[in-house]
Amino acid sequence: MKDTTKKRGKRKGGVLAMNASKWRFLLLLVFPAFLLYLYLCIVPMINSIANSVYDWNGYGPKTFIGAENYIQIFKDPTFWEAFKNDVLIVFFKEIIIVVLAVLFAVSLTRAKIHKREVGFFRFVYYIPNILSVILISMVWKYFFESMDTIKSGWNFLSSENGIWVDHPLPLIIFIASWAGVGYFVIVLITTINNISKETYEAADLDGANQLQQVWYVTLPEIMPQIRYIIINVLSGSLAVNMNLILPLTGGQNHTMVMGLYVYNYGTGQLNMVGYAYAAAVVLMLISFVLCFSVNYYMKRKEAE
Amino acid sequence: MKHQNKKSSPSVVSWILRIFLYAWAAVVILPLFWMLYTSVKERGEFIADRFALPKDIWLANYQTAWMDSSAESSLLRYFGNTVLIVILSTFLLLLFVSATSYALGKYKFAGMKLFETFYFVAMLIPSVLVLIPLWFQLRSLGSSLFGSNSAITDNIITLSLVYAIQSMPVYIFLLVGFVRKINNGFIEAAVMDGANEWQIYTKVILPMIKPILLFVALGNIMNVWNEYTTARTFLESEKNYTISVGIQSIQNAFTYSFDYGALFACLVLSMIPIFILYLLFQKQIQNGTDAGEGIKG
Repeated sequence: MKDTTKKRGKRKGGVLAMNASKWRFLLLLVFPAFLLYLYLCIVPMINSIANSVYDWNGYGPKTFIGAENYIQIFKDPTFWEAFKNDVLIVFFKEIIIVVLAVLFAVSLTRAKIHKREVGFFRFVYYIPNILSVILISMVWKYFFESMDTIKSGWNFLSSENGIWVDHPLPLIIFIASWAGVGYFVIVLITTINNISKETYEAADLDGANQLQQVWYVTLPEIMPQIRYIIINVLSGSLAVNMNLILPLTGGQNHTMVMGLYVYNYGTGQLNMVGYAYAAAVVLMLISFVLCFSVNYYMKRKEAE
Repeated sequence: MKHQNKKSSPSVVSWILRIFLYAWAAVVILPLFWMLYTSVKERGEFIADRFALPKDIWLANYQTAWMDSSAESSLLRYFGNTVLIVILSTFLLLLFVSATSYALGKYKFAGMKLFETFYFVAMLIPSVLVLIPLWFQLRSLGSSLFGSNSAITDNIITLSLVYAIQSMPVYIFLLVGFVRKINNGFIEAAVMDGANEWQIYTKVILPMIKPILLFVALGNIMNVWNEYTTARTFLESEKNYTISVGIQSIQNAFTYSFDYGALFACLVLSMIPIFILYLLFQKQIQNGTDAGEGIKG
């Protein structure tokens, strides 16, 4: 210990160079966390990819079947149904969230709205973001089901087999957007407030009115954040749609999404764990391809 | 034309936008307000009219929510479990990410760069690829160590550890940047005073990154308090349920007897701790949103 302290001054890197004391710190705190991360995240991930080519029930012996799981997935109409539902949910969720978040954030920063009102909106809009998915899904589930019990004229939900069978998608899209908008409003407000006054003043001198300033100054400046919103919703939704749908519909097949498909095969009584892993890999690949291509496309558009 | 616009449009447009803003605020608040007043509505009143305001404040629902279950499955028990998981996972997360960020940000050692890249790439791992294999992995570990499949998974300490470890990469990425910005002079001064590594970490680094650690803690508390899917997969016995899993499991009993008031009382109770946190730390939580924007973008 003393030895290393004496040497330290002479070594390259000064006080930041490695010594026995620093190695001990690494061994006691940093490496254990790293090993746990390997064990609890990396090993399972590798396992799921590696076992996706086996016929395996999770416990017993494995049979190597090559790409058979993947072929079965692509042949399964339920999987395509799930894929279609995911795409529909994400597509409409993106549109609703981007339009509303931009509209609200621009209004709160550029329109003549009292500071106190802005504070109120900031407080209220963010509330869904602190609520649990269980609370959100239960409140909306019983809210819509209660609406459905009203037999008067303004029951726009009317359904014969229950609303979650007859038209689950619009309701799920609405609930997911309700939960998601506030977070992005806050993100956008900060970005808009960081745009320098001079930029607007220059536009003002050019004779641009308020609306034109928003169109030609604000929107281009927040394009990277809008791209962030789109990618964030996209990468979050495909796997996470299930978190909302599971408690809403009880996980029945009429609103199958890919995340739920994986979950049902992986943990249910179906004993098809290898198959579930293959579905998870497919889901991940779809998600990556969509994210990267949207990101690439939008970046190119921004550059233009 | 342009000049006309400039004079007349701002106030009219502002009023139209204001209407949109209040409309959305109403959409956000109404279902929650409905939940709140239904939670103090008598059962018969609810059956008669599901949306009418309650005639009296019927607090017995809260009594039912809180008491009406066995000791194994009371809301109190779920609260206790969740608080324990929140405390444990937050403590572990803060310890791991602050120590790791200090090492990554300040140690001059070739391996560190590799380490940092690893955690950066790890942020991209989708949870769907991890949860189920992790569950099988820990079950078979449980059966070989303790002779019981659920010995390790059905355990709130394991769940806390899983929460802490799985959310590490994002926060490390955020913290390393701040640690790097700390002036090396502070570390040199501490070394001059004879401080060892542990003292540099606790007396120099930790105080300086305290505001960011507060954000990490708040983010983790909210995530863990509200988490559902992992908890539902791991926890099997009712005595271990968290608040989310617990409410999901008692919901059928309440809806079967049309006791929506009591069910909503459970929901209201479940959000109170986080709502108080939000009232106290709204700025930090929302600024955390901005910080999060930086990392994820």
